[in-house]
Amino acid sequence: MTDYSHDTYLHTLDEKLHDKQMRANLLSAMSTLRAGRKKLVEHNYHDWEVLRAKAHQVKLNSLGKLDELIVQFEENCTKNGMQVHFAKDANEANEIILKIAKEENTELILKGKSMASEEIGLNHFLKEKGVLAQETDLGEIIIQFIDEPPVHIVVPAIHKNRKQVGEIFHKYIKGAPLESEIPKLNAIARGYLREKFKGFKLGLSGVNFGIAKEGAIWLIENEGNGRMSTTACDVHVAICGIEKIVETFEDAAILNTMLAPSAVGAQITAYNNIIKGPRQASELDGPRKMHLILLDNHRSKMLGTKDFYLALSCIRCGTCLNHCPVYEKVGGHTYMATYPGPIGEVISPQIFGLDKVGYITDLCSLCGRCSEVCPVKIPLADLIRKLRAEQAFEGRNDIAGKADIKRHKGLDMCMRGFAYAASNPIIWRTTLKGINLGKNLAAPFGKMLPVLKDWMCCRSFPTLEGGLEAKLEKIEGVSCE
Amino acid sequence: MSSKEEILSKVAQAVSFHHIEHKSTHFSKPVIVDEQISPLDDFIKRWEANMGKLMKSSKETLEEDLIKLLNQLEPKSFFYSGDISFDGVKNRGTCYDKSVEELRTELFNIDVFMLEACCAVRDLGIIGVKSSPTSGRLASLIPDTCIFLLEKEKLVANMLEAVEYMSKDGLATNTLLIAGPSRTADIELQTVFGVHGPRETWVVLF
Repeated sequence: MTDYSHDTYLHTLDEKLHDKQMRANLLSAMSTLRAGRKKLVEHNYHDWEVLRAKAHQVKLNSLGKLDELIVQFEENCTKNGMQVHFAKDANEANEIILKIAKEENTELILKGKSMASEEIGLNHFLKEKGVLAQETDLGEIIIQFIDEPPVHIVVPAIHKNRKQVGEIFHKYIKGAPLESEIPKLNAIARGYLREKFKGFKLGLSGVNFGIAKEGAIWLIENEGNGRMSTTACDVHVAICGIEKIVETFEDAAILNTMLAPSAVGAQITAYNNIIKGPRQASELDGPRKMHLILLDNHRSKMLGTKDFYLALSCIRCGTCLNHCPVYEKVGGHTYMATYPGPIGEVISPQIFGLDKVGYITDLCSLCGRCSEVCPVKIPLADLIRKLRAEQAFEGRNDIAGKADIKRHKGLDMCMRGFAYAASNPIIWRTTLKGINLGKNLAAPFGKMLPVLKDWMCCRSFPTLEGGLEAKLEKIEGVSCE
Repeated sequence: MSSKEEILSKVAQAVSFHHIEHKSTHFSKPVIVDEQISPLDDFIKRWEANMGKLMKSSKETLEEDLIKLLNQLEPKSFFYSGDISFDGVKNRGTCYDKSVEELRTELFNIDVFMLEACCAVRDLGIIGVKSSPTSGRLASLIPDTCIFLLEKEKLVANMLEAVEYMSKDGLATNTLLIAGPSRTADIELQTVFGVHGPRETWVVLF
């Protein structure tokens, strides 16, 4: 059972802020990813902003007729031999996968990287039912060994350096020597998984793009583990969030053009894997059966909101994380749910509940970098600000868990008091004069005073200027009315 | 109400709330290419930048060149797809013409696999491959070294043209765009090659 308590969040935040190794690892990684993207975008494309506008429009076009596309996708995938399932929530998706595993009489699933499977808590669910969901992506294997969630959408174990990874492999992989050179660590992982790939039955993947017109799925990766998990098996299960569906190959190509450059500063991934269906009678290999699970899990609800539907455009590149000054300091685990960083702040509350993880919207300075770099032009900073308004009961969208948020009476009272004072000129000026007079008295006792002591635990006494109006009036040419 | 009906109903309702205007959007040529060199040379430059290896050959000398390459690589285990027709090559190895169930153990210990590629993609330096009854999906995934035979004329400009070219007679069950050897940068963002896919990839251009 996930602990979403505010105390746990604050404890994790404090722990990560003081984790020097993690912060050093993250700083190095995020700087590298930002620099790689910047260089590529500046020198290798005709007009990156035009490409962003196109990608944004492709997503809008798809979301604008998502109901038709889902029907078309299901029909065409079924014609191509896939068995299509619909899952309204995480539990239903997990039960479908478990049922397939039982039908195939297997207790092992080899997984390609899938954030959707993390979102539904698949590994933990299956483990409780006696089925092992073995990760095959290098970063995911590392964190699976130490039972941690991913710290980043694209590079899930980036908070661990080579020495730490070497120690993890030495501890958890039978016979693995203690190494710290990256090629040797890679060789250990390759050997370990090769044995598993030789004899497995059931493979699982996510979907990067679902092509409605073709009834095909398009997956991207670098390692080859995704291809192994979808090709060297008897049965392939693909989990596809409904927002991943686009109409044509052209739409997918427009989005794919943006993905690798944004994610890792490379023009293209090693493999683009387009799967139309299971093995045909005349073919030599590929899975004999293929299942496709279309996952809702609050996506339809998000689509129905006035503002937050735009977050469904996300292509999971992670570039918003790479550019976020807060994420770089605290890492992914502080965000309490599957999706960290700016995109996580928008969608995690809508999937897991605003009452449970809503406080992660605090992890934003509203600098706006994320909005500027998002390849599909999601206005992330604006959506985070609007979600904060929803938490304060000032918004009008229907958000999961909103009705269960406990009002903070003290905060409500302070905000009402502030609104009253700020609307009354006499009270406002009097208050400012009082601040001006009292600030020098308060400064020495700041660390003991309520509210102020939380500010001053890691900051100096705030600079307060209550006499600004008087100073303005003295400036020649300024007239205050 | 089934989950399908419930989801479709919710999505339809949400879509009707927005009335998003559909605007046609087309894939143009996004990548800046090198106009100073020929398109083929541009592809070669990018393929090699992706850490792919290249051997230049011709229709007349292809068999001889492939044998030279095999001599250089010295595979203990060599497989080729059913599209390969040169006796001098076929004599060196085994044809992948039985199902994966019959050949599984051998397949997972292949040093070199040779197959035909469908096309080269100029602006990204990648190649296109597709599955067929004579060319299995695993051919380009499972060996340590993969050799792709590619006709020079089969050069397309970009990713979309590649997919359209490969699907013009119907989409294969598996269509791939391959950018050289498998790789990962999951540890400290240091790239290493040869993870679960091939460690080395050759294009033999003829």
